[in-house]
Amino acid sequence: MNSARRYLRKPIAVVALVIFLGIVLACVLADVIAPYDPIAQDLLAANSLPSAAHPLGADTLGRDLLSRLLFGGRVTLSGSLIAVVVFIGLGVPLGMLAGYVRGGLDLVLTKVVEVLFAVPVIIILLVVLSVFSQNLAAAMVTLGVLGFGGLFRVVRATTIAASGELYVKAAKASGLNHGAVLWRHILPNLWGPVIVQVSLFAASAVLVESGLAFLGFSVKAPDPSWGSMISDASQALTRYPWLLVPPGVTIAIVVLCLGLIGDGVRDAVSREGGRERASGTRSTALPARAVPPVQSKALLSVRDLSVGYGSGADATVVVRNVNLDVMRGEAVGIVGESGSGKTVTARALIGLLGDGGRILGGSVSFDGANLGRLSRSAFARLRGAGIGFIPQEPMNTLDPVFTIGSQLREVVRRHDRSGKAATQARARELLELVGLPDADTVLRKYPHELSGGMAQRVGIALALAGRPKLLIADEPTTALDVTVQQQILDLLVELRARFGMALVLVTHDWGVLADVCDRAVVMYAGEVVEQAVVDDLYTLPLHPYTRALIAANPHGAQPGVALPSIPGQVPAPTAWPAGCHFSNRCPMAVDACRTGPIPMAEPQPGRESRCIRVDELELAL
Amino acid sequence: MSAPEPLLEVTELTVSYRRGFRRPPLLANNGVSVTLGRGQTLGIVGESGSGKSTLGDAVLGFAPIASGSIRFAGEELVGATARRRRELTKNIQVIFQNPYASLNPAKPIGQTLSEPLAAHGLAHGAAARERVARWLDIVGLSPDAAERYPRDFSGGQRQRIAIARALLVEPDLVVCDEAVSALDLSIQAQILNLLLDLQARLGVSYLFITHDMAVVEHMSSRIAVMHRGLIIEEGPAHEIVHSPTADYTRALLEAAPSPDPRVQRERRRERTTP
Repeated sequence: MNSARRYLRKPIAVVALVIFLGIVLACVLADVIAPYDPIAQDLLAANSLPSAAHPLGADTLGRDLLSRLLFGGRVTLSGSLIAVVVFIGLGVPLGMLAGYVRGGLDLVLTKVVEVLFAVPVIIILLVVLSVFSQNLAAAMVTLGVLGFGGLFRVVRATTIAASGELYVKAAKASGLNHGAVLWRHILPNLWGPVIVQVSLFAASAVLVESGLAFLGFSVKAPDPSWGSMISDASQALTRYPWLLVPPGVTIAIVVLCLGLIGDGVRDAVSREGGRERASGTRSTALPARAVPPVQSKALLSVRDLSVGYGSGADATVVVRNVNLDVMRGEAVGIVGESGSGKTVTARALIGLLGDGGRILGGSVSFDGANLGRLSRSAFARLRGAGIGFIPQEPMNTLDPVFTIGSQLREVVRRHDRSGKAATQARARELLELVGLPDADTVLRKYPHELSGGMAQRVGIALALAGRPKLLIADEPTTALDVTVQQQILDLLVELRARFGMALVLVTHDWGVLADVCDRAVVMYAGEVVEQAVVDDLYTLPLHPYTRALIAANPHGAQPGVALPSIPGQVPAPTAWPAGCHFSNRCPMAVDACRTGPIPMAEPQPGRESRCIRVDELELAL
Repeated sequence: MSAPEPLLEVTELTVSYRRGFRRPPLLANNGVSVTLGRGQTLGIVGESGSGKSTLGDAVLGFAPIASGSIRFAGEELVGATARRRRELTKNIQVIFQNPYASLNPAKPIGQTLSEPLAAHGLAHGAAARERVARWLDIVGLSPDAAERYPRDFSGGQRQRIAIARALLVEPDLVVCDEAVSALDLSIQAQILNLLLDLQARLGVSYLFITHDMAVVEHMSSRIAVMHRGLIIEEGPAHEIVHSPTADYTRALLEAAPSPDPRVQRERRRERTTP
């Protein structure tokens, strides 16, 4: 049980649990450990403060407070237990039923619970107690019935959420009956929320019992309960205030502990689930390499870019020694699979690495200015200096509570520092540029009112606001349907032709690459493995990985015949092979491939390949 | 000689979802008819909102069927009792798109895989474990995978597990709902090969639902193109891809860019010059 271990790692929650269990145990064992009979009077000791004979003192009739506390706890705690059992017994099954079956049953149960919420609890309890005189059990059952609504709602909501999980649908499709689905796949999701609710309800049950006892409804004098002890103490409050302390503090501690236990459980289970296990980190010394000189003619020239996650010596390098040149007006595609580092590279270029991401080294020059050593802040300046960014899912980057107009105007104002009318005109112009001619209507809309294609056009408009010389697009059409993708690619091609912008396009789709890009950079496991003009790359790939990846594409393959696939999978950054990163999947790998870092070769002018057997690749085909 | 009875025959199927107060219901499938023979693959291709996944859901019993008929091995599924539907999961299985969500993260793989065996009373205890281990081997995973949790596996490996879960009861029909869409190209090729290999060995039929024309052509004997709840065009895979008759099919095929830069440049030129 992972969540149990996580709970035990929280000291406060553990202390609370130990204290609570200690109090419960002491009350259960009251017969054994209590020093006196709880109703035995020792009038000589009446109203005494704590002493050796009476560790917590004695009350107005000289009864030992510790003993009364222990025996009284039985009444209070067992009463609370009754309420909790009723609370769970009604809340969990009815909540699961309503959430799983839905429909009319759900409606009826939900309405009943809503009515229960409107019922004044204390008044009903007093009515019940006037019918069943001094019957605490009846009162506590009533409390459970009146209170179960809170648990019902939580269980119902959790069940509805769990029922929507794909694995529940998959379990039904496997032939499991409803009972098995509920028991095996839905109930396990409920533990956390249920325990939290129960701990809170138990705390309030303790308070309600004490309140009822204080009013004289719980036990007959002289039998103790925590509430009746407070009631007794209140009679002599001005003369002997100490009497209030032991029961008052005990109730406070129990309620506090229950709250802390609930907190701890919530924290322990909220991090449970199918999250990836944090992979082990290792430090990778970056091998020194010959770095080609910065291209002075290039618009963007990046040298030796390395990116890591984590800090200090534990940093995991995820992108290593990337060199990238983008000429003015050129469209460069960064192509690769998940884990290749293509998105991290693009995000590093605009200083937008996620949590813990760090640029470990490298230098950059943009538009003739050498920006020197790379850092986040250098890239942040680049963003202002003419790089626009188009994200993969524009819907997620638009703020749902603001209109398109206000978000677009904000960006325009930042770049142009223009007045109100000019800003509005520029916003309208940008939307028309990206093919949204009815600009005034779109400006008034909220993000959720847009289709995926329209949202991506707005994303492009935002990127264009600063009149960039370079657009960086991270999988801009991956989330879109193919016909919408075509429109967006058309737009990118048209904008490039019109403004002469350069483009860096990150993609996994060879069709998108072929459609939009002049040159391609192929990445695998954090490294650039090949770089060429797209036509050459497709006709004669000069790296075994590129060759295998193109062959694995079902496009144009003979239907029904096994595709030439690459065995295994892309290694995680912590498991990169010592030599060529592709060596453990490569059909051409020899011992020399596995010994050390592979240098970049230049098999043909303007082409690069990180393969020592590139000459053979040139011959074969 | 009469033609052999098809394994799956969907006739004039209409599926309608209620959309709440005063809004007309959504006709996710509006008079859909398709047939699928034993050991064959029928590709269903379309964009989001075309109703292709709804058709799969209807065959699996997850969609509210308004009218029409679904005959499976001669048996009418529309109106079948819940008990019968549950029994039929022995014969009709499914592989979903998202291998991260379709496996319960809190259960070890072995438990997930033995569930369908227990549900159909096919194997228990040691026999079930043995069968799970055999299927893990068939889909290319090591037997110790049974003790591990979904989070320990990559996307491609999880999809292998999902395939094992679908096929270890040896069904006649598997609905593959975008089964390779979330996978990288090299992993996608591995999974497509595995599906083809299993079909050759077991004679299972696939209802192969996808948005990817290249994938559907590779996998299918016949293809049906869907758009807005309707079948636009249906026929042998080669014909649909290489000589489509419907404008929509042609638009769909042309919209998917070719990985060959020269072909794609030619296409773009043709399209953008009037």
